[in-house]
Amino acid sequence: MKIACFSKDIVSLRKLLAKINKLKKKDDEIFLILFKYFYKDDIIENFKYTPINKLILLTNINLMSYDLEAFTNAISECYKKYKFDLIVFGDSIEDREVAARLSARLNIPALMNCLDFKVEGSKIIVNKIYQSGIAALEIETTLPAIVEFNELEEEEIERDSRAQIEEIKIPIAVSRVIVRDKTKLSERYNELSKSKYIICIGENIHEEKELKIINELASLIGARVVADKTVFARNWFKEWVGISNLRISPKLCLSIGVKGDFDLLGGIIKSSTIISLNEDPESLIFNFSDYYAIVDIHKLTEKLIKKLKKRIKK
Amino acid sequence: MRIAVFVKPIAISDSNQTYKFSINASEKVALTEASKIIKLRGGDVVVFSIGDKQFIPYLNELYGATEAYLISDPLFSDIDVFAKAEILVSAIRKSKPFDVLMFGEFSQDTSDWILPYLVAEKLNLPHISRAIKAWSEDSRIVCECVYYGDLYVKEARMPLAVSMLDALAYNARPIRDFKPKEVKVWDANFLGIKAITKKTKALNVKVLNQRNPKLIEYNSYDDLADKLCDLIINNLK
Repeated sequence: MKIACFSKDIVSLRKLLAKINKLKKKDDEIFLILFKYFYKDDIIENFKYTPINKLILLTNINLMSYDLEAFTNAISECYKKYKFDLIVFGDSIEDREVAARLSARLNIPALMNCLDFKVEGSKIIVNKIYQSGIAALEIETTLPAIVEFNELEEEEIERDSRAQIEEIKIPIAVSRVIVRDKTKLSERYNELSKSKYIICIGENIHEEKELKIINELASLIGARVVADKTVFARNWFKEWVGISNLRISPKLCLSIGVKGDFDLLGGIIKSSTIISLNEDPESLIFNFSDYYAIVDIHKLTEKLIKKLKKRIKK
Repeated sequence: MRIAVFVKPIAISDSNQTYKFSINASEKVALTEASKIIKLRGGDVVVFSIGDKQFIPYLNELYGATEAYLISDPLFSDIDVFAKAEILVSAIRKSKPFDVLMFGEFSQDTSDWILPYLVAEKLNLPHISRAIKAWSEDSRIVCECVYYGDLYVKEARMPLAVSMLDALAYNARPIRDFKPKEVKVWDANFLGIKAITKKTKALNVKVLNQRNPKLIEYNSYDDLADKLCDLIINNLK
């Protein structure tokens, strides 16, 4: 089987090569695709000694900086020449974009957010992240296919004898998307995802007046209050948190009165710490929390505010 | 000027099981930006949705759109993202030409979020992705886009595809000057689709429990409040 590896990001590419060398079968051939003017010469030189069969160096001035269409065209040209069975991508944002567009260009399936794969005859079975990490989904498709990995782990790659190198000049049209300007992102964007502390409220917050108490608690710890779908349905909030809408990754997520479903859990699972308070011992969110308490939240919140006020003053 | 916006209504219920529909945040940003452009330049915002006929009343009240099309057919249930892209491409080809196709970056497609990329490529359109704002300048669309911590200003000539992030969702308000007069329903027959071929087959789902939850035991509410204070303050450091 011919496996082509590509990543826009060098760190991701090293991790990808390590991963593929673990997953490959004895007779599989590994091809590494690099763009000559995109990567520095010393980086290209280093990749010549990684465990690959062939290094394909694509040369075109229009591959100097990231462009979705140009990158797609380049890998597509490579595919036409070598007829890969599998094209694997690293875990950067740009890798995901190119993998997706390439899938439509070559009319072959792309499986995203993958953890690992196994090949059985002409089929590939992929284990992939589902619902932002709440679950893993096993999915089957036929080869040739594209696989994009999710959060690859740092692993050592062996130094190998010099791979066969082929430099190919390819025609790439000038990009149709022009970059006018690039600046640092201002804090005013994505304010929700920038919040370090979040209080997420759910269906056991029944009345709007309870929201006042929650807001007081939030202002004490500098948190932002967000809602799950059930609270959103009451028209108290403009948005809801969940895999189907806004996803958050704060340092602390304090969930109050949330029972939790897979939609909500997918939206908060990337929080560093999750503390959940709810009176229903069967709340699904408890299984995905670091700490949880089975408690009547209506009796607790005011006490918690009083104690927090004292502690914060100290 | 004609802008197509692709949305997927989501059914949301409260604890009384009262249902309402909404669209996700990135699609709301797309509809907002499209309606702002049309308000300035004139033209139509045409909303497309694939799904059940229960979406019709919601689409009919969708401010910011001037026309709405629901693509609905029993053939289209249980489809993968590749089939969904084929259906949308057929619908776009069936319509009068568009200047801009606008998507939510996180459109509902089994959490892979690749639908805009598939459609843009199939129609051979330039694609500005990860946009948070979009406006028109003569024959171009200009967008502010986010990659990691950087803000890019990108432009492309129309026609093109744009996919919007949900970064400004809390401030997104589609223009309320117009809404669709009616929702037209297109089925497989109308689109000339005889069969749907799925490229992928889901086998198993395994729940990943990545944390080791600890039950906080307590003797009284005061005791629990103390323990929570410790946990919260430790996490604020």
